[in-house]
Amino acid sequence: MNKIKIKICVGTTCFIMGGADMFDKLNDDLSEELLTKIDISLSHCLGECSSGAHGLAPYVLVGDTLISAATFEKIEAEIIKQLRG
Amino acid sequence: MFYTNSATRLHKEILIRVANAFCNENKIDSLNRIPLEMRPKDAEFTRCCLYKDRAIIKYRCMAALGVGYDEEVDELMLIGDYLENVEKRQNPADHNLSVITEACSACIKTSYMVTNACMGCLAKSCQSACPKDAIKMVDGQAVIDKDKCINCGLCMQACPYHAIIYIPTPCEAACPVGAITKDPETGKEQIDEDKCIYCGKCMKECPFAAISGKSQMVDVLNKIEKGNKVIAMVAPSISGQFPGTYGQIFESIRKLGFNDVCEVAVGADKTTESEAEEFIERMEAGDPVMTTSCCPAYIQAVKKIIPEIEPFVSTTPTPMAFSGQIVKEKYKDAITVFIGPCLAKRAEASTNDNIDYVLTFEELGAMFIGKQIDVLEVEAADDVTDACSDGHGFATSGGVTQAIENAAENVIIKPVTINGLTKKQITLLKMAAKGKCAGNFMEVMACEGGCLGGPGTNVNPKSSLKALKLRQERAQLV
Repeated sequence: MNKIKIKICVGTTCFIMGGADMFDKLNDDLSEELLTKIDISLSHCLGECSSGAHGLAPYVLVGDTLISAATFEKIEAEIIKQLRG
Repeated sequence: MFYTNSATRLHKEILIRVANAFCNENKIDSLNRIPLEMRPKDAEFTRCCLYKDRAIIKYRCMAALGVGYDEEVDELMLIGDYLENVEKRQNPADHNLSVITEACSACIKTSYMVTNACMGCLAKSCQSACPKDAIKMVDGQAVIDKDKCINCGLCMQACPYHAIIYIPTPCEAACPVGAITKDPETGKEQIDEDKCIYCGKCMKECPFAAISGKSQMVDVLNKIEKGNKVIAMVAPSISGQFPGTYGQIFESIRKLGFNDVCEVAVGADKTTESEAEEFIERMEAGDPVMTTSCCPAYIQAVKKIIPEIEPFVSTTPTPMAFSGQIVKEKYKDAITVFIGPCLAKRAEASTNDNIDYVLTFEELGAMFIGKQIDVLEVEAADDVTDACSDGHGFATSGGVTQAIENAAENVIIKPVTINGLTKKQITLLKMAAKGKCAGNFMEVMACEGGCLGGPGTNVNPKSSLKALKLRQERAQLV
């Protein structure tokens, strides 16, 4: 099975608005089982804030789904949803 | 504690929007539109209505411009109307923290509450214990009359079912010096300037984000825009605060228009050298203990709350003070800007002619975004540092102790580390002043985790500590 690709945006806005801690947080707090099924990486700016929606940073891509104002809980829920198909 | 929650995110969003507006062609109009853009018609609101949300956003934007809530002269004035005064002023706003009274929810009127665990028992120990006759029985359960309750807590102690709980007021519980209290008339919080040490703990803990300092960000942006020679002095805690390498961060700061970027870690090396010497001298002279002097919130606490410890506080200048001297000698007539995680540094800078402005890492980040600088995309070759590993270590709890241990030879150091100033730790310091201390060297940092846990940081100290350790490994060892 292909692993779900998680891309955490670390453009300056996303980094400051909470993206900075997301990599460690996901690796530390997601269950071992989920971690074997995903591939977490940092991404250059995804360009989502250019419209002025700074309040919706940080952005995280889970597969093809873009999550705004991303939190650990939102990302975890999306991973589980995609694994269930 | 470090949080990323909606309140801290809102605080950052305001700074970003104000920096963006300043960098926009039509500054005044852009500033005035911020409340409308953040709460457009039909948007969800968090207070009673859209309009109160917008009004509070206005006060938050004023704070980001360095204008306090209490400085509002006329409610009809818009955010942009304040810009002219900000651009004209020669000195930054004062360092006081203030409560945005509109945003304070006057929460927790009575700190004690009877829960559903109340059995409505026959003994009614709570009623007997209450000195103010504030407890009535309603529908078979005890209820506390808020108007009579004096928050003594005797009812909680008396209840055999543990059915009465204590609910703290977050800002008051966080303040280590009792500087923030309720106005008895309105229940809204107010800060006593004679006690406040500018640690920023109330600001971080308030769930309604009702407390704010006055930013100097726009003053600095304005000085740069007017073509002044402006020098950035970055605190060692910058490691991990931004994406990219150390070199990329420094180059990004230059891109903002700063003429040069200096490392305060170099000043920290000087502090180490001087403080180690001072420690040896003091021990030889028979002093029981010496405390560090680099944390400005602690120094405020010494002045305002625990003056009896002052004779034991190191007189060595702080890393910022040493760096300010170096920079002002190198660049005559330059404007110096200290960039760190700290609000209390604004107070220290106000008494030091070598430091003109103080910014936080949050504000620096907002400036990057305003000027559309993506740190990760900036090209930078060098990733070197002029400071020692121990100089960088000043950013974390235990770091100063480590530096002094390495520098002070032929003397026994028994360190005591105060990692975060609390009411308890204040008592510990009072005891130390009386000669009752478990060690002879006390490192005091007001923030838990040291500067990496400061109120103006971007990143959880758990993550930034990793970055700091990497930086220390790469820095030269002494």
